[in-house]
Amino acid sequence: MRILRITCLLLLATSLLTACTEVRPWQRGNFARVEMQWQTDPLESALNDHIFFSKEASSGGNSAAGGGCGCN
Amino acid sequence: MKISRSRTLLALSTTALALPGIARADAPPVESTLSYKISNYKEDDLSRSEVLFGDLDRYDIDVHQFQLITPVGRNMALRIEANYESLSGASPWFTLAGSNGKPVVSLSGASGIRDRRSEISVGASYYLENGSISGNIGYSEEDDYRAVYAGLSGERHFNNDNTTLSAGFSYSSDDISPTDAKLFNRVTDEHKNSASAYFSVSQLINQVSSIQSGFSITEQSGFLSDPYKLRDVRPEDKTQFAWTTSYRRFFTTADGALHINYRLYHDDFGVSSHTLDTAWHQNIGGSYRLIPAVRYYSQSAADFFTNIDDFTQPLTAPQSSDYRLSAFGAISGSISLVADFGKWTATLTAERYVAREKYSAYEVSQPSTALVAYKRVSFGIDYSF
Amino acid sequence: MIIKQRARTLAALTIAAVAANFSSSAWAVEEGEMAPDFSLPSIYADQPAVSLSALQGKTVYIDFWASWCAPCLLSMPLYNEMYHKYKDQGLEIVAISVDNPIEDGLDFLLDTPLDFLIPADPDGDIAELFEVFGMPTSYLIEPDGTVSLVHVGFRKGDIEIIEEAIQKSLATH
Repeated sequence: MRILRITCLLLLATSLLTACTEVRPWQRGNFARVEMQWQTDPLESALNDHIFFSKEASSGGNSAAGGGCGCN
Repeated sequence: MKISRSRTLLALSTTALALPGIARADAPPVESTLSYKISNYKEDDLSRSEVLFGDLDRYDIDVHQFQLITPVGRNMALRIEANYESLSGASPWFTLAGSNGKPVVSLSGASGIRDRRSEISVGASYYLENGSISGNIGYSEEDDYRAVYAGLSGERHFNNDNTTLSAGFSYSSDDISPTDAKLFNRVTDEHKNSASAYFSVSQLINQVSSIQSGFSITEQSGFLSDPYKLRDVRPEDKTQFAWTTSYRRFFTTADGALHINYRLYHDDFGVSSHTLDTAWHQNIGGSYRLIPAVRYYSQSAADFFTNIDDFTQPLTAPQSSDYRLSAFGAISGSISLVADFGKWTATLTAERYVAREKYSAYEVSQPSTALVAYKRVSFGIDYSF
Repeated sequence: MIIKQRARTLAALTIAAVAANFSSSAWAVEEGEMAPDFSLPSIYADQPAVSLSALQGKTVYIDFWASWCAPCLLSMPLYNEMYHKYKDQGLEIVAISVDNPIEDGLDFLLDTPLDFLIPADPDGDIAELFEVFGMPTSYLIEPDGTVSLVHVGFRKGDIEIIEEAIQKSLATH
């Protein structure tokens, strides 16, 4: 139940945002910038994920869990 | 955007493969990119008053990361990743009540721990007209640990590429065989499985900003305890939920981008957490970028956390004094400098992380003595060809 | 259970809201249609404006590109080669830059000089007119003004497809 509620809120919030403006294909220059990516440095993100996974109790979020290690 | 940036752009389209489902993969990468990053991670020593006897130094780890991303044919891309870590140091073995009643910790090993980890993974992505499908398999090995894992994910664009839905699944099968098992009366061969799924939506808000929100669920089963602690008993099942929202906004006048990420987490060990990290990506000239970043993290304690080991409890009762299951908060700051030289890009990063009971947003009824603080330095190189 | 029903309604509403946003592109210049006429200034300050009607009777290859579009940059040198190969047979290439500011496009051209016509469309008016739905998008226009090929994206092997279409078109001259 809680999962369903959270997912619906997520989708609802996102669909409300689409009411803003549609960005046309030729207007997408800024999203091609390195600094506007979801991950600007994949090796850095992987390293941080690995460190935080082994030093904290939390993991996950935007991707499925990666490989295992004996560090947790 | 100067011409030197276009090389980075060509290289950057390859990062779409980096983690399935996060980057927006519009088309296969146009170039191949080889990346290498070397890092050193060093934890602060504990102070004498926190330790019962023996070693004060904790972990010192060197990490080497390699990655190759290359287009294959018209519609595919291949990614190969290899990691190598070498670790030395000591970690908490057990905790007792000190002379003033507060917990003191004893670190393991008279000569400390030495461990190495090697990992290799291979992934492929297939690009369709409106999305892509990716798969990957990997293997990780340490002196006492082995993991085999695989994942599959896909993403689909809608609304003229303004909206992207992505989803994925991964599975890992791990074998644990602790070193010096007989000597320290540890378990010998144990096993654990982990299955995880995620779903996320990303949306362009306007020409300068975008938002992404995703949800993941992970199920672990098997031996989840820490075999190197004198008394560490954890349930044989663990379910985890995480919800992450990310925001990106470009500021044209300042020529910089703001990143904000927030994650809410909960698992059935009783741990909940908040993570908030922000970064500012400042372009300097046509070839440099300076990135200061701050991260705040706070978690609650696991239901069975105890900051002083209780050896009177039966061996079946869940219990752990592992600081990673205690309530604490952590603040970390980092700074990165990126230099773009056409085909080459270099990145230098320095980070400082401090975990403290007083940073916690949650109530701390049992503070852990062994909270960690560390420094990390990394140097990375990317070459596109 | 009332709670279960409410959850279901909420789910249905959100799915509907999301689905309503999945609008398909309305009208786009398609193969078989007449190409719309347009006139744009050149990206170079010292060159004259480019208009499609002035090129009637030739095989015109129109390509919408930008300096921030990686596949576009890859295609440009290949297009330059093709232009030199077929311009005497009646091929005209019109590479419309949608860079905003146009200096970004000029910076790229400084490093990679191109010999065909390069109009500037920083406001995207002509891109909108053609209902460009990906970057890059190119249109092959026959001497009589009809569009014979619409090509979105630029991947390995695409230059051969495009060259073949151009050869076919030039054969009708």
